[in-house]
Amino acid sequence: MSVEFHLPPGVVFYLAGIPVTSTIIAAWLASAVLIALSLAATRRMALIPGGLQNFIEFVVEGLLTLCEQVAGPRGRAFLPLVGTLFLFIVTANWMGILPFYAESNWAHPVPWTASHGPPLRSANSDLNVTAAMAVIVFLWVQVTRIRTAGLLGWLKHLTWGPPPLLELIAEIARPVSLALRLFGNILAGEVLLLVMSGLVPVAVPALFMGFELFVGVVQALIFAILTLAFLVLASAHHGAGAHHEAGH
Amino acid sequence: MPELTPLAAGLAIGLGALGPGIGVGMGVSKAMEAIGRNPEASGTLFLPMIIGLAFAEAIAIYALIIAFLLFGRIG
Repeated sequence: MSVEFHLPPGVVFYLAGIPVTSTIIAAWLASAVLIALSLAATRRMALIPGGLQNFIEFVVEGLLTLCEQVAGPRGRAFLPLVGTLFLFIVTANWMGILPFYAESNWAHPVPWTASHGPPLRSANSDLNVTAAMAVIVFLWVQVTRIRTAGLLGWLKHLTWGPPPLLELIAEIARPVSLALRLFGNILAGEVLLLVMSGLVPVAVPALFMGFELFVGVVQALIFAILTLAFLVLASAHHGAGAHHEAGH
Repeated sequence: MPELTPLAAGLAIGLGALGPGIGVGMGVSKAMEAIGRNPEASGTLFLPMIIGLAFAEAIAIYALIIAFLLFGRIG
């Protein structure tokens, strides 16, 4: 039995000359699920929530608590970015375990996709997707620092501090590690499922899918918490007693 | 020497998993110790332990990515 997987995701079709890969379609689906869930939960909003609204409020409150634990009372301002990152990543990761996703479920070349690979693949198993989120975090952190400390403060932070330019390397290394961590974890999970499905197609892959559920939420949490930590560092007012509570 | 690429891939992940393996073991053992001393701390400990483990494991994942890249270059 030959295990065949490709690191870059296969192209499904071309949209005005731009290749649309299986992972991009998965990312669209994850977004669609989140948007549909939000719309369903906020129609006819009641003061005392029931059912779906209650559940969504529970999730959002949990994220808000997390933000406030790490960032203090200013944490509320970070909730949109951090919350969205967490929700998107967890949704995309969990959807990647579903039936029609990825290599292990498509035994033969698919005739109707451009690359003859599967039409769907876990969104975060594409470095482009995770790197895009990391780039957004990077830009957001830099803008936050500029807004807190001014352009001069930003430049000073990057170039000064013994040894000089160390912070610059750190600022670049952080988004790189964010992207690679998420990408590596999800890709490794994909390959693991592929190999396990090839070895023992009955029952055993379910165990690994369970593990993938766990990994999916942990990696989403890590991404969100790290983003929060970077933002807190970037918005720290030196000497004004910025209170950074580390961890929980 | 392209014929050494499979060896490189194997070594990349094999050696790359040594450090994180030790790191994860140390982290969890300290957590277990702390829970042993104070069983009520298990709730407080759980999340920071998981977060710490994810950081340690990330290093192994970087090595795994190199192994995948090399694996793709075989032949």
